[in-house]
Amino acid sequence: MRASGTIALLLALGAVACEESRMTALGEHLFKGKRPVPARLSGDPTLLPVEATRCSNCHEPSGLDAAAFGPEVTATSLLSEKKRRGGPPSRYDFKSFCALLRTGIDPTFVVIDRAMPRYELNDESCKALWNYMRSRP
Amino acid sequence: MNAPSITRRKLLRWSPAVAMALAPTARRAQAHSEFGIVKPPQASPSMWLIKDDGAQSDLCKHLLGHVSAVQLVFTKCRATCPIQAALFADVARRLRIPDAQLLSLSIDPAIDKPAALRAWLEGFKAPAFWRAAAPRLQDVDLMLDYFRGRSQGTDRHSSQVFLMDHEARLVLRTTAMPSASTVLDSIAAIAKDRTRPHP
Repeated sequence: MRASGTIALLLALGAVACEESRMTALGEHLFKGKRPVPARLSGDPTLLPVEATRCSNCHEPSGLDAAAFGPEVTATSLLSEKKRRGGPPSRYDFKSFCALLRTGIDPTFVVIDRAMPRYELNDESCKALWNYMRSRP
Repeated sequence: MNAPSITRRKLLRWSPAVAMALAPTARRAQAHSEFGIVKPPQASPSMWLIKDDGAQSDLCKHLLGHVSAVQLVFTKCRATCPIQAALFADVARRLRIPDAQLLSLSIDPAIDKPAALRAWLEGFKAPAFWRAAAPRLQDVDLMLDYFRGRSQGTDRHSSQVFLMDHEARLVLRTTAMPSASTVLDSIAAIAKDRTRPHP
């Protein structure tokens, strides 16, 4: 009885870990544009092509500069309390992270640069991206 | 004969989006504004370009006789340029103004040879009236100064669209990353202004 309970617990833990891994992998695919997400410029009804809206386009180093075009997004950058865009100190949580991607409004209600598209993310995709970002050191 | 000019009133009537962009700067809508109507219009510099088809042309000559929307890009750019190109692709799909043209100017002529420019345009299914070109290396600064197209960082540049009239004069700088509708309305306003009777 005790052994079967332990096995059940291990199976449950394994399933949770597996689901977390699946979500993180999905997040990486979304980040790199391997899974497209509908996105538009703020106020513009036209859908942008996936080549133009990959997160990695701006949040990983490329081009002539060694630095990424946009801010680097990692667990530290998201979860540490710091001033962003001239607003008061803030940190992201799942809700504010999704709100930023969908609306362009950051945790302190500052609107981000118009060059970053607004994404039509469902909750699962947003959770996947949140998991993946927090897995980046 | 007086040269045609774009009036603020005309642009406001034609484009609510332009109106929104210009409202905060109505008092300072002069040549030195970061965006808005350029008054007086600024003549294009004489500057050699190598176009995507390999032909050489003077910038001014390429622009003369057309309403032109110009953007600054480079083909290796992964950040803002794909979005800028998507914007021009959308403008190209919806553009119905005869004599209007689109021009993507490279800030990286060392890399952006005609073949690279051509491949970049083909990637966005550019029609014949959307061309790409690169200045000579020594003219990049001149080009950036003229458009006020600099931004911090070596591979950074303005994502504004620059509107040129039929006389190859800069008449409007949009805000950064404008909507396709803003660009289309601005082109229409400039094209219409040419046809109005002059006193």
